[in-house]
Amino acid sequence: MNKLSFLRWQFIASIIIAYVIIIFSFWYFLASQSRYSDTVNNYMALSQEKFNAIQDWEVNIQKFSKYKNLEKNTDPLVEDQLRNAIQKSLLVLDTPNELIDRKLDATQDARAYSQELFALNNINASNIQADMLLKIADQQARIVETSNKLTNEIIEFRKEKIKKRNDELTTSRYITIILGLFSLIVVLFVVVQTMRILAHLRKTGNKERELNQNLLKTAEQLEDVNWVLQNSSKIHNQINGLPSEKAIAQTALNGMSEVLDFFAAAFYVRKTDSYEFILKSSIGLHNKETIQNFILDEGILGAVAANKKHQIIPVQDISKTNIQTGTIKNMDADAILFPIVYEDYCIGIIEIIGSFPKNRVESILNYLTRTSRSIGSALQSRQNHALVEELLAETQRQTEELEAQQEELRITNEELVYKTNLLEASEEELRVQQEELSQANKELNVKAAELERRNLELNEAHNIVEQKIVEVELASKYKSEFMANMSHELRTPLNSILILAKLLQDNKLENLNTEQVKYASVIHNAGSDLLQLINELLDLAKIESGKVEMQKDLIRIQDFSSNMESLFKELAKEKSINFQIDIEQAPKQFVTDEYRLEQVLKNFLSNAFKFTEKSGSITLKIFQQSGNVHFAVKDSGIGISPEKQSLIFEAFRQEDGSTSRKYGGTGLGLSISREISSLLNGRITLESEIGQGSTFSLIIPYIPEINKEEMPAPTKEASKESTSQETKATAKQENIRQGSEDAKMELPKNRQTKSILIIEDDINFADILKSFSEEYGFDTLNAYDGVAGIQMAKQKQPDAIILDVMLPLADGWEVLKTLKNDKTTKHIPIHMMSAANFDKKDFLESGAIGFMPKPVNEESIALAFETIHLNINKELKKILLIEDQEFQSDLIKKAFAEQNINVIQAFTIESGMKKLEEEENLDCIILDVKLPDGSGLEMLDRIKSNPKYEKLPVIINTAYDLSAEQTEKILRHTQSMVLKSSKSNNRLIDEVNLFLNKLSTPAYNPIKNPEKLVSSESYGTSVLENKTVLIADDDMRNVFALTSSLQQYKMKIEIANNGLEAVQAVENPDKQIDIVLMDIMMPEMDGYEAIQEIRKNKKHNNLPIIAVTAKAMKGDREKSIELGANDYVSKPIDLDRLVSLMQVWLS
Amino acid sequence: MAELRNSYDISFPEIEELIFLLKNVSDFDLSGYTRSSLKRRIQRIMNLEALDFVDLKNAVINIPGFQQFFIQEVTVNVTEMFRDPGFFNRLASEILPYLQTFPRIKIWSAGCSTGEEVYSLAILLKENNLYDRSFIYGTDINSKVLDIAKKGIYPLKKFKEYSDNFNAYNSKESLSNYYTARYDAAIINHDLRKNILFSTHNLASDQVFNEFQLITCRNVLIYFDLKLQEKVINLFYESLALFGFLCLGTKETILRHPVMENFKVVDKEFNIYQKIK
Repeated sequence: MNKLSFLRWQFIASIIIAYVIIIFSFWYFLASQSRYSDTVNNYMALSQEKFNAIQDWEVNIQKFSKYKNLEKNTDPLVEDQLRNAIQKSLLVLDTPNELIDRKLDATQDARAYSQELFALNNINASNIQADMLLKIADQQARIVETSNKLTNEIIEFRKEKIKKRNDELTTSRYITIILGLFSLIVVLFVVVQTMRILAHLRKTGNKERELNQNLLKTAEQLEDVNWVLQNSSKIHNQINGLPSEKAIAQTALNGMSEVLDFFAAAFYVRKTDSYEFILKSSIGLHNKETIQNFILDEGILGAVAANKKHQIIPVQDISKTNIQTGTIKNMDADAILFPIVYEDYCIGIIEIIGSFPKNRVESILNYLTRTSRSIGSALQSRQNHALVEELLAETQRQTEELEAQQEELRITNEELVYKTNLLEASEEELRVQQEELSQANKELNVKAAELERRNLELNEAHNIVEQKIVEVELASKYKSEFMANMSHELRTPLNSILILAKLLQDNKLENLNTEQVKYASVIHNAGSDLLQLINELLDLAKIESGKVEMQKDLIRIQDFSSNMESLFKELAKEKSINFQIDIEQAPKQFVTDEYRLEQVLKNFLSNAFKFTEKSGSITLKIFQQSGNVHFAVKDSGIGISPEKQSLIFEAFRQEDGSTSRKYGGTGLGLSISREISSLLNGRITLESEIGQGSTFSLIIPYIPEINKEEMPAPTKEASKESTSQETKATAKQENIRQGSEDAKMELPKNRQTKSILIIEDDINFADILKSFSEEYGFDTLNAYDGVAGIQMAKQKQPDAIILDVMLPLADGWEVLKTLKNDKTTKHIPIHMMSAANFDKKDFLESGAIGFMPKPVNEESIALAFETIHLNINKELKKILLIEDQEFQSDLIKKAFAEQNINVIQAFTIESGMKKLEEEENLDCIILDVKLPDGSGLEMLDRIKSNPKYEKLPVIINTAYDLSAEQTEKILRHTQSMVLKSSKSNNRLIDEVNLFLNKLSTPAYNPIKNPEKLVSSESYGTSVLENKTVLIADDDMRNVFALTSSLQQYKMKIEIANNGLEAVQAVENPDKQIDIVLMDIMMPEMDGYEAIQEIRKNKKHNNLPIIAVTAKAMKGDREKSIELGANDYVSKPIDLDRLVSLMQVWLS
Repeated sequence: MAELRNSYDISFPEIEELIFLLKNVSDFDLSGYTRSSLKRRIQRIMNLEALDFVDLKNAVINIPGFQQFFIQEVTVNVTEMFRDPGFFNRLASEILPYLQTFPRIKIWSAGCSTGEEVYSLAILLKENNLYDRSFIYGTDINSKVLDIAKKGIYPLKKFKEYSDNFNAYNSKESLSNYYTARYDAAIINHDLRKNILFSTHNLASDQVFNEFQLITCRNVLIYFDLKLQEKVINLFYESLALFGFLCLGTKETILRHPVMENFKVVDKEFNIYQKIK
């Protein structure tokens, strides 16, 4: 080292020396050079100065010469000036300098010449030119010669001087060369030194290189390892936690491709738990031809997998492989088949192909080994994971499945439970029903057995009875036939006989003598007797067969007795019998069937007259005794022996078979009388002694007035029938016909009492009507004009009138008005008829009972007679119907006619009010709400304001929905209301029947002991007087009952229909409620709520509230008290308890 | 699966004892109920609650609320909307035209259970434009079922059956016009619920509480013995307005009872009667 530094020092020093010498020699050379050139330049300049001076001198001298020669008059000044200039130039030439260190020789010449010139003064100004010019040229030549001399001299000088200087320069050049040589030597030394250093350096450099080479090698190795590690860890990181084998394979290959420059690669992964490897990923492979899968031990791949050792297969011809390039066919490449082994288990194979440098193969293999480990573990864990996942998914699926099944089960279970409940319940129902049924069955069986037995017996009896019935029927038929035939056959000739006898008896021609007249009257009397007998027979037969209907007539005793008296006055006079009627103890009036009563009494009396001798006495005593009316006919006749007394009431029996011959008579009278008496609910008694006379008494129950409760039996039947027939709404026509037939059957007994006046100008039609009216059981009177009709009506007082409108003298309208205005005829029902088209309403308004349009038919006639019948029969119920719609009105009328109820129609309020006054004994009013001349509700108020009609039931019949207030208002007057609808007529009839039958003893009385009411008035209840009670109840029955009861205690009543109204009433300061009766179950707001609501207002804290409840549960009752009621009463209300409770709370 | 021998049994004398007990400790009087039905129902409760007879008696006396529960479980609550569509047909065609002649129509559904019949009647009235002047009282002994009835909310799945019934009664309209379905339930429309009052009423002990034009009491009398039946029918008779109607279940009849003479049979098949006296 020392050597190297020494050398270096030497080297550096010699370099410096060499440099110094070179620089010095340079500088020296350059300096001498510049000195030379400076000097030369100086010489040049100096010589130039001399030249200039020479020139000046030449110029000036020439001027001067010219001036002196040419100018005639020389100006001394200019001459001077030129002289001075010449002098000056000569001076300059004389002045030595570096170059010319001595006076020039030529100067002397110049000077001399100059002086010469000076000395020539104006030589000749007037000289001729040529001389002068010659002189000048001469002078000029001399001047130039002198100047040339001068110039040459200077140049000579300069040459000399420069030569000197050149020598000096050459010397310095030599010196410089010597210096240069010296520096060369120094440089040489430097070179030598350098060589020595270099040699030294080369020696140490070789050693270093060797060392470096070693270092490089190890670094490379390190790098390789690093590379392997880095890349493999990169892949390890990348593939960690990838979700699928494919992703692992793909990522691994991608990672490798970044690291290894392969051409193509394939990655096969072993299927879990199998020998099959499946291509999971590939790069650069021709997909179609790539082996997708292989089995362990099959092919090279299989072998590698089985051996778990990698294999490197060199490839020469790349076209034989499964990769393609566009350009290359032949290339060296290596295919590396590398098994991925995890825990000694080949889990996959990576195959790569590429042109790998030989030295890289090792590290690639290393890389692959390392990478394969992480790939292997990743794959394994992936596969394990997949397995776990699969298992998990499976478990999840199973869980879900389970859940679903559970859900289904739950639903099914619920359904099952529900169905079970349902089943249980319905089963229960069924069972109970079954039990009930079987119980009923058992009972039925027993009863059936019993019934069967009885049935048998009955059947037997029935058979016998049937047989008998057949016999009886046959007999009865024969009898009826016989009767009919006989009566007809007998009556026909009798009619002639009687009429003729009567004519004879009247002896209008006066051509008979008294004897003959007497015969005629005998014939007439006998015929009349015969006719009576026939009639009586028929009568008896009818009574016996129960076909007779009893009438209810109001009998005034005065009229009755005078009537009876007049009947027998003549006879008594004739037989001079003292006949008296004693009515002192008789009731003024009573009700019975007048015709039948008369029949019986006539029978009694005629018998009495028959069996009483002349100047005997007969008394009819009518008296009332213990609720009965007695009619006693006492005679002083022959009397009847006790043995015979029972016999005489049998048909065709008299006291003695022989009597008939003596006294005459049919022997039917008493039989009929006895039958009648029983029909009249009475009886006949007989007291008699032989020779003492006898007393026949008819005893019938005393009925002071026509009482609806005791309806005649047939009407009752009819009404019963009507209710049971209700459902037969159809076939009305049939019913009408049936009804009229019934009427036909029933009516004939009226034949002799009811009369009808037919006022009709058409005689033929009058005859037809007459025959019809007779068929319907009327005696017929005919009038053929209006005036006669009026007269006849007044005289004969018929029971009914059929009136035609078109009449001579006075038309039907006049007749109708006259009759209706006459007191004596006002009551007679008039049925109108006409062929003209009249509004039926008008007739009805004017007081007619009906209208029959012509031409008539059997049906309309039947209808007319039915109407007449309904109107003359005072027993029938009468309804006033106020309804503006004729059709509806007729419909209702028809429906009621079926029920034997007489409907009087009115169409306006006014006519309704009029009829209400005219008609007596109306049973009910049916009122429409909407009427042409006002509201039915107003009319209701008008009717009800008359105390006479206060208790008359009114039924509101309307098609309109009424408001709650209206309904309430109506309900205050009447208890029922009807709305129009298809079934409304049924309801109407129901309601009317209900009123008519007066059966409406309420099934449920909301008050337990109403009878106590009266007695309770006696003790002090003044506490209640003038107190206001609020009745809150939805049940109108309760409200009515409580209202009427509490009004007797002089309480003021307020009504609320629900809880809300109750609260409002309490809150209303005008009402001043003192106590509240609160029902619990009410609409809108129930009682509990209402009580709470009332109690919310502190003002009402002391208002007594009594809860009214239908509930028997203690809890329910106590709840009301908890909520604020002061006390409670149960339904039905014990009035005693309620009154005392109210007294307690109000005192 | 519970073992079968774990079922509890009750004898008829024990039932009598229980009835007597219940009558004394509470207001419930079951003495008018048919014994065989009671036996089954009580046995069911015993099995449901795993009680023997002594436990049962103890529960009746000592467990608060058990009496109510007992009554709830003893009574059978089966009802559905438009049960027996024929009955409703008959009501609509025969009874409503008559009912509409009354200015106000008050109806009592006795033993209405969860109220389906009450709402069916309301729908019937609504269809005939009578609902606004009608008022329906629904009563039952069981206050729990009345709570359901008051709400008017029923499981939607039931409505399938109800719709079938309704269609059998009236094929023109749809039952869905009368309820609103949401989630898995359906509520009866509000305007159908306004003229209805649900209240407890014990047919065996309670009294007349109003006057009605129509009383329906279907499949209730079958649980009562003859004596109680008569009492209840009398109660109905007293609660009916004149010419009002009484409708009983198809297996129930009043023909055996003396009060029958005050009624007219309107429909034999569905046991509809009219009060005529």
